[in-house]
Amino acid sequence: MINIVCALKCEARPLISHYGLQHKPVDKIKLYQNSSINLVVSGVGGKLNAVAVKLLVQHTEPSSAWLNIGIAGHGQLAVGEGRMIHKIMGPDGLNWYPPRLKLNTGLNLKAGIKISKNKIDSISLITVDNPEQRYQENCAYDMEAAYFYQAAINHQTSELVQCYKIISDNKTSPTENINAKKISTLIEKKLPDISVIIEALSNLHKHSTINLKAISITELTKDYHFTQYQRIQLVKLLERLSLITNQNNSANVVPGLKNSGQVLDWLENRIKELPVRLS
Amino acid sequence: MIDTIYIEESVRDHSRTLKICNRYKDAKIIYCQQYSEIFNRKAQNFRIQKQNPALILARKFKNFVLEAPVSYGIGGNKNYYFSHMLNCLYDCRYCFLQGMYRSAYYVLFVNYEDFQDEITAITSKSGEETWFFTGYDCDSLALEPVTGFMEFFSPFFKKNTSAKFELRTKSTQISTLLSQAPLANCIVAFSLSPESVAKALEHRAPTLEKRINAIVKLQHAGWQIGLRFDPVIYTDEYKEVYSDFFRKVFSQIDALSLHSVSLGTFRLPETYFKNIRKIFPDELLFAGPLEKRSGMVSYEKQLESQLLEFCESGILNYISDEIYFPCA
Repeated sequence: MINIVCALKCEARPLISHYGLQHKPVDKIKLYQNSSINLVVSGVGGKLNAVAVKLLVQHTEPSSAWLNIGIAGHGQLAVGEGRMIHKIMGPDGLNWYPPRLKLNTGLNLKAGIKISKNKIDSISLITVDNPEQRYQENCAYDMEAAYFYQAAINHQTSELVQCYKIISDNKTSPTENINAKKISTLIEKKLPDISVIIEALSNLHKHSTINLKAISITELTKDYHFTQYQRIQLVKLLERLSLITNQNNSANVVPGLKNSGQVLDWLENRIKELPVRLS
Repeated sequence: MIDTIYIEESVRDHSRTLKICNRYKDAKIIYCQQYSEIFNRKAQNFRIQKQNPALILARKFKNFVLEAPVSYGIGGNKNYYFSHMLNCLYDCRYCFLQGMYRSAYYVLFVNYEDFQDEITAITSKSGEETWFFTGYDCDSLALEPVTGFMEFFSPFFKKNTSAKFELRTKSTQISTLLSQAPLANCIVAFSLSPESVAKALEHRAPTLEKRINAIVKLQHAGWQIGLRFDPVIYTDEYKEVYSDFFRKVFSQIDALSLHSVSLGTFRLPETYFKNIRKIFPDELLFAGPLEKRSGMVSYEKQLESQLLEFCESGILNYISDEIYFPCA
């Protein structure tokens, strides 16, 4: 699952349309979703963005990846350019370095979107609390990323928390030129890049999540009483057994054991009997 | 291939920084104040970062040389280690680095001269043979073409004959060594494992065959070689596996000219073990017959003794016990 956070509805609109996201009525946040994406519209400003992350956590899988998509100003880049963010300088003086996502611009994406052929570069960004009119060279400005990032890495490893910004204003085209329609157009034009980023995040997420075969202790706990400590031991032993034998063994415990202690002993002995191998 | 280089502002114009950046012209350069802004911060996943590690170029300010753990010696009374780099090119599943750091990025401290100053100071104070080990927090040679570590340290080692140095490695990057006369006070210590163990656990490291070839070349050139059978790994077939292994190793290298051989079993501090098992829950090594003893996780005592005794006896078929050093 990918969680996308946008500050503005006009930033979110092209994504909602492209990914067929449906509005889900939940308290306090504007949430749109399909089977693989949650998108929340937070409102402008870092604090609202951080609150949106906190609230979205309650409606998503704990291991979801996070992506902040929005507009930014820049000292040099042309309006319409899109960039990943590799360094975020926050208003509190702290710096954050989202690990660079390996983007394969040649991914075979699903029909309906062109594959982005351009390399998606990355830049530094300063998050400010008030709109910035002075453009420092070689740096982007926004009002959300630092807050988003700090909030999201409380729930996910930093490799799976990323920011993508599309340049909306610069020295020659100031913020006064921006309106909701233009912002939607800017985002829409970058849908190929966004698809590549989402695909890369999804792949990384899949490969990083190692789930052992789900261990069910329901059958055993029906027949035997395990203390809380014994339950932890039981899960550990069954996980170990499952890993060594490459199959879920929880149902194979021999019947006729008198109590939970005997079950644990039986499992330990069973593991000791198994061959010790490395692959 | 390194595609991202983080550089501390304080070393952005350092000659080694410039040289490395020149080598990786296409890498994205990102400047930072301190490497700790990136390395080992919270919310990092060693397993993910290991897929595509970035390089961090930094300056070390203190603790250049540290006293070595008690079990690290090979005969000397005074043992120290130093790490010009943190983390390793290879991905060995038994390695403590996975449990010690949250980050898999490589940190290279480019101020080699400061390491040398501290080694010189320690050596001049010491009235006896003093050993300096490298390759504790990284492989000493694996990134030699990038770091130029031995290229720079060789003349220093050559000059400081009262100090002894060990390079610990699995690497075949030996061209810097072969391009010069061997140093009398330098031991090149290779970590070796049987092929089946290396294949299962020593990901991205050179094969046993390649490591043996590198040893043979270095021996022919006159370098002193150490063998490190550490960690030895328990499987049901360990007797056959390690017998074949020792036979293979000692049939190709010159055992008589070896400097030292050490032996140790798989062991990890308990906290590191917990961290590693969390990121590699699917690793069979950690589902094996292990137990906790005195803050360490290692093989069950009886199995460990059997394994060590068997390997020790196997090794001593080929070498004299004067050059044999079991790890505590």
